[in-house]
Amino acid sequence: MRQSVTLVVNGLERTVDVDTTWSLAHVLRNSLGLTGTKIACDVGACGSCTVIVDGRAVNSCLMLAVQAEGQSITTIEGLAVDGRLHPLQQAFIDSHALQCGYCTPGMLMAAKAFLDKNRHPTEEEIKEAIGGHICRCGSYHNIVEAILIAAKEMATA
Amino acid sequence: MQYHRPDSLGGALTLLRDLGDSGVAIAGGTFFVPHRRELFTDVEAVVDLQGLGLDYVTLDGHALRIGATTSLTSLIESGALDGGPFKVISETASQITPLELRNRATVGGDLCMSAESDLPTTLLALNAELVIASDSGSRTLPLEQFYLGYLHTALQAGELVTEVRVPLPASSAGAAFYKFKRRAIDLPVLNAAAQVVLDSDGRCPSARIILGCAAPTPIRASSAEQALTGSKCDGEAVIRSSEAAQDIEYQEDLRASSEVRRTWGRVAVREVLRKAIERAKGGQ
Repeated sequence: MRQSVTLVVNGLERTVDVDTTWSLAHVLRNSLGLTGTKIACDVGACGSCTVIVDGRAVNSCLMLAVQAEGQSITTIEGLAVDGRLHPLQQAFIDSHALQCGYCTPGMLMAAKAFLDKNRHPTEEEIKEAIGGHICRCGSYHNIVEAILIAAKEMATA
Repeated sequence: MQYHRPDSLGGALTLLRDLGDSGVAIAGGTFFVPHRRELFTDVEAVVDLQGLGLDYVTLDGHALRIGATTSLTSLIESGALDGGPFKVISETASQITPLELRNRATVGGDLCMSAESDLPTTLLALNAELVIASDSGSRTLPLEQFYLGYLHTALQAGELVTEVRVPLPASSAGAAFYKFKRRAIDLPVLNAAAQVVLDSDGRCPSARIILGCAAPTPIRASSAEQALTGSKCDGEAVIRSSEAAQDIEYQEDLRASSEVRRTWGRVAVREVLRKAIERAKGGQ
């Protein structure tokens, strides 16, 4: 069944006609063209599709798009502001924290939601925060390092 | 599939009554959404409960009350569980991973849909009860009578769990939770929770010891409870009780053999008893 849903995506109100069975991840990619959000497992086991909904990191494959009616969603496309990379994005580049890049949008959104609440994280806390994310290239070490660097950058900014 | 988001409990219950078996209630959606094309193919309508105001955690002199659509993160962050006799609930919820799941999954959903989860084990140890509402009224049911089989509960068509109530434990009680899983984001392979009451002589007049994932539903480890009850709660009693937990018929599935579960059951019971007793002695 089709239904109209209004989402606030990266600060912009977007109204789309969706099938009620579609996940938020599907609608972000296929209806709104925001293909930065990746779908890998589609069952909440890999973290690739993570976006921020009302301040919290969620798996957008585990949520129906219609459930997000009226909610504020930040995707990877909303991370850089006015063409300036977010400190996390810069740190990922500087630390070589990605290889194939497929997990990167999910990693970044999880890290952003986490650092927004915790500006002085320990390495252990970072590992817990990204514990639901799989990087098949095995770049975990550099990812954790990049998040630590970004945290320091953001704490002093 | 129709999608409804009622803004009152009465509205939700009317919808669920009218829909009968063709409708399903969802809140976070973390179980329904990934399984919608396998387990819910005959569902014609979903009723989203997020607008009902059932997102609360309150603590009064007699009980802790948790609204069914409270997310695990909201439960942990509510502060109502910090430092008090209910902190074991927060400790248990924190071990449900990953964080993205805790941010969406709700207490009511976890209790209703997760045969392999952690909260049911701890809430059973704490002797929780459920408030269950339907269009024709509401009833309370001890959680112990809720689980009938794998993904099978006492919930009838048209009924909804609206609240979990956990009685305030005796001041001389202590509780703990322990789990085994394979990797960071796995479901538990086996878990245990216990609530132990101590008297002034250090004896145990009553204990509740629960094992999760040992069988298709969470179960009481009755032999382990009997081995502890009435005796002095020293290290020897803990070993005796944990060894008694081996007499259960542990289930076998792709995640673990019954032998592995039997061993882990003994270890998990030992760990929760040690911690629960230590907490009971220290007044939590």
